[in-house]
Amino acid sequence: MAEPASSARFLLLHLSLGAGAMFAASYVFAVADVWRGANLACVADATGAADPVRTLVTCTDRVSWWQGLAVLGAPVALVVATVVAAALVPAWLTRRRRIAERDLDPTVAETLRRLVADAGLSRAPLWRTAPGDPFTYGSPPRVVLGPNIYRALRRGHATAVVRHELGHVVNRDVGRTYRALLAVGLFGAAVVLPLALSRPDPGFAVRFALLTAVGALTWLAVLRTREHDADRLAATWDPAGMTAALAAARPPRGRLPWWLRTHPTPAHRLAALHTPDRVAVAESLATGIAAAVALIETAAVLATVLDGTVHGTRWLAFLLAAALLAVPITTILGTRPPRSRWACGTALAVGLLVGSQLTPRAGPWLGSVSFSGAGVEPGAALTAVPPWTALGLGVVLLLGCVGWFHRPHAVAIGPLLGVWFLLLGVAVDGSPLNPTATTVAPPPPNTRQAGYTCAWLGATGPPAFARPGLAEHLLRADDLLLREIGRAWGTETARTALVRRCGLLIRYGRQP
Amino acid sequence: MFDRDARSVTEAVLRALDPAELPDLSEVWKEYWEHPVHPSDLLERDRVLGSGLAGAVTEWAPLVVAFVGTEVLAGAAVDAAKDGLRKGSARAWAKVRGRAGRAEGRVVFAEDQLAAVGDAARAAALAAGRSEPDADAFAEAVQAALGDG
Repeated sequence: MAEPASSARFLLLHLSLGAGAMFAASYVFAVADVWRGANLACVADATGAADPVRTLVTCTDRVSWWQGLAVLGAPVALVVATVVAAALVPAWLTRRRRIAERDLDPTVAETLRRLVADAGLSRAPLWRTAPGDPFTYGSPPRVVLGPNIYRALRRGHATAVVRHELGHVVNRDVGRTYRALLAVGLFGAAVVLPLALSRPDPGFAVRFALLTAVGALTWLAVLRTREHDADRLAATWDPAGMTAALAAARPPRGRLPWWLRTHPTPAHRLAALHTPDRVAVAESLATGIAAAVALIETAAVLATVLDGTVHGTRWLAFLLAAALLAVPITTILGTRPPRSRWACGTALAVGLLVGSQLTPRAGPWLGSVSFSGAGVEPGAALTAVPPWTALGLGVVLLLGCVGWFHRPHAVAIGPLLGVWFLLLGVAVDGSPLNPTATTVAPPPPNTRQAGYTCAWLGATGPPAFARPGLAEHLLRADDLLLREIGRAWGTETARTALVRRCGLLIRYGRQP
Repeated sequence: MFDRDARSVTEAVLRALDPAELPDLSEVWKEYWEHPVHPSDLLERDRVLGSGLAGAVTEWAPLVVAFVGTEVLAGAAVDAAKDGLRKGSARAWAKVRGRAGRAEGRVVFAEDQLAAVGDAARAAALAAGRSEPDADAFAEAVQAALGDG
């Protein structure tokens, strides 16, 4: 049997949350002052060393490496916390909902045995009772039925409700739903709330709010889709019974629009009962946004880790990140037919474009800060690209995405995205409109002197910038200094590394 | 003169609505008196991980027990108790406090009282999430049972 549609949306949810966690970590670790001490310690080490420049670069590279891993660590930490919490939930839920075992009378036991056999389950779930709406939880799955359902079963009714719950068991979406619920809760408590309370930069706040909204709406879509999937499966065992149950179901209370609800309305459920699920425009848009953010952050992390060890790090980082992201994109969007190739392709392209501009690396606050010593971080801000270049990039992405929906395969979308994002980065870095592009200058002699200057500036910057007059003087000297350092260094990679380290240190110095 | 206990009234209402549920009445009755609920509490709130199909299983017995047990008999008996207290007697109130099986009322329902009880029954059924036709049927059954005493 084909994977239910909710599986793809579960994946989209995890992609959104992962992108959100990387996004937040990237902001926190790049913009906040958490690495200042480590970088300044590098300066202190370099000052007394025989080769201060090499010592400084080696030391700050190590710090950068850890910074990169910290960004990657955020989604990993979210996964670990979710798995731990999910292991604790069944016991908590049993106490909280006063869930109890119940002796089944022979009629009910026989009915349940028949329903389990119809569902093709080799092992029956555990039957439990508690007041309220039926639900399933735990592993092995426990199906909780209210006393009213048991009484109805005794009279031969309510089998459709039980079949619906068995549909969840067969679809194996019970554990995934609880993990998704916990991941969303932990993301809200550990990431969104602290960031919201920290009064972040408005540009960041808007971007992060949008990404969080994508995650939240995806989560609601996951909950609704899993109900459709369970209904559809139950209807294959008893079409008339399922139709009758949905016709009798009570519409949900409240005036929320359908896309903000955790359950579809009975009318939607009835309509969806015999309609195969297709890729929607909103789903394509959300996938594009989450994938773009995740791709840029992953590429930056890969670039940091590979920095200095592999020739052509930038290409490799983008292509590897795109290859990784191609798998979830294809699973989410490529396993079902699209509603319209043009509409879904356009939505995916728009999502990727929006996502590329959402990431903190496209924000103005990262001007001189970089994780990577080799300058491989994606400078993604399209505002730094001439309009015709931006238009050309947009058209290429649009045609690529629409074309991909004709034959959706991971092998096709991976290179497409890798090359496109690489082109975006190259276009931004090489653009005359990009203020940070001018920091890389031609080579020249006296590297030792430049290194000392850089180290001195990094070491004295913070206290010096506390004095307004000196700070103004040094800020005026900043650009000249960087050019001088650029000239002073031999190879391009090492030169860029030093320039960016100095930029990092100078930036720390500018912190109030 | 109305001279029946709560259980027999409940049975009468349930018999009118769905006799097939009569075998379940003892269980529902016991559950109710262990954890009394107002009819409006029977409308289960939507839970994030619930099936959303709670309304698909319609049982009359919990609504009948909750309404007749609390609103009609207790309410009428409280009125009677108040009358009794005004006359210096607390016996009726003591019967109300006795709850299950002992919540007896000895009340004559006038036409306007029966109409008021019917309105209350209809409102209770709607509050419990029942449809309009179901609410009307419930009100008629309650009025018939009380007027038949």
